Amino acid sequence: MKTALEVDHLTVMYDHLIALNNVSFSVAEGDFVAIVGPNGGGKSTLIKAILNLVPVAAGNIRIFGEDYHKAKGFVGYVPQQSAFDSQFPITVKDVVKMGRLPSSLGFFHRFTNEDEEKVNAILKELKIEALADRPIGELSGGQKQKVLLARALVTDPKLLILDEPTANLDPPSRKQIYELLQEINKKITILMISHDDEHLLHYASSIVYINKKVIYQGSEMKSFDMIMTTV
Amino acid sequence: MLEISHTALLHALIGGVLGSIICGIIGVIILEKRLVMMSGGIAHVSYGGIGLGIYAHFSPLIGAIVFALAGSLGIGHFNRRHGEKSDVMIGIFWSVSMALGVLLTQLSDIDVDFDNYLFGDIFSVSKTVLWMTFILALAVIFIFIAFYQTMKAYLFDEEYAAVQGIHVRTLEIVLYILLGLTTIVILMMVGLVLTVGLYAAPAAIAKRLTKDFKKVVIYSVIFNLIFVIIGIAIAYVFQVASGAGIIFIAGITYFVLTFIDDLKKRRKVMDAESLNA
Repeated sequence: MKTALEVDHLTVMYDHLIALNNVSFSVAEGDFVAIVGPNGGGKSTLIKAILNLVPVAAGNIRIFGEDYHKAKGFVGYVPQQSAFDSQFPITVKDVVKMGRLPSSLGFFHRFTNEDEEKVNAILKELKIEALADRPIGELSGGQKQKVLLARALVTDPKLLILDEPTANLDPPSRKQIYELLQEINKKITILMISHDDEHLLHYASSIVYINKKVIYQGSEMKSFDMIMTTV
Repeated sequence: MLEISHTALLHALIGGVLGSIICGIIGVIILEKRLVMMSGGIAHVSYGGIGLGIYAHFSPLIGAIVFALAGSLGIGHFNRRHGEKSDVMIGIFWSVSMALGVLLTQLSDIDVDFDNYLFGDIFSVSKTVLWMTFILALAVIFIFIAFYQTMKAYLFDEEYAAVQGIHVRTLEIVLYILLGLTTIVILMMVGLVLTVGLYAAPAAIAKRLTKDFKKVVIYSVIFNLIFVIIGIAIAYVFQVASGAGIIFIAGITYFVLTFIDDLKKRRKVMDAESLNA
């Protein structure tokens, strides 16, 4: 089986403070890996490093054997809901379309018929086509999360990276998102940060526990408390 | 105030229309990126350049442009590096440059009418400023249309745009340069004290009326035009500073619309509660 993601001796520093220290782990193609750990333990920094959003002090990150610049077309990203302005005047369809923008300045960019078809198909697949013309600010938390998921999936990624996709959602919405991710995982490798102990242990195929460094990595589904008592 | 000639009135109207187009577009971007206070900072920073121009006997307009661009890019840099903590830096930039402007102006041998810079005098807009405004309007419209999709993605979710490989840093630098130049044009119309109002009020009103980004920009330009033309009329008839009239009308309209909007929302909640009861 191919390696979807390889993080090799990664160190990230913020102003002389170590955020991640010599972190190594890998994700096989088809896996559903959960990144867990305490607040301030470096989970979000790890995702930012993988996505080339923060400078790496040492180490390597390979996505399907390539560096980020060559592999970014393979990656879909679902940020935390707090990362965007939910009051921005934009419809659901336009948000999803953003996933089809080119990686440049997009000089006089026009979306093609293929883009339109792809957007409509993904809205239908996630059962949110009825929301297409609604402003994103009018949606519930669970609906917004599906829209962000659609924006990531509209690029046909091979690796989907999610940053706390169930944060601030009610229990039924959380379950719905996890079931959706389980379905998506049949085709796409998933790497996800979450605090949602109960659901993670049920849906993820392996976990990586991080607190500045890798404390535990394995497919044996242990609760966070168990990890803490065994390390 | 001296009697206003027809030429001055014509210049004011042309400048007002061009300035409204620029301000309507840039105002929405500033509002969405939460750069309203930064724009106030840039306006005040430019006063240092005006003071330097007056003291050193070169065009205060050139001084203002150089200081506004340096301030815009400098504050933008601190904003990116230090996030919320940058308000301290904006405050320091703001007051130090303003102080420099006041010091140099008072040390110079030229008698300067402070009111024109503080509250604007759209009737004294020169042909040079009009040409500058015209070129800037063309540049703003061109850049906004050419990069419309990526600009929208950058404004909505900057981090995601960066992950996609959109050149967000380039867009940001272009935005800061336009912001610096636009601030000078606005400063000529409404003065440095009132610049923030003309950026924020029309864009904020437009955002209350529609949830479509393109329409927000169009409405923002239209409201800018309305406020500037009414402001020019008030200044012409009552012989008062143009900036005061423009910003007063813009502010009152914003407060009235906000009040009506809140009343509507409250009525909706009450209707829903009475249906549930």
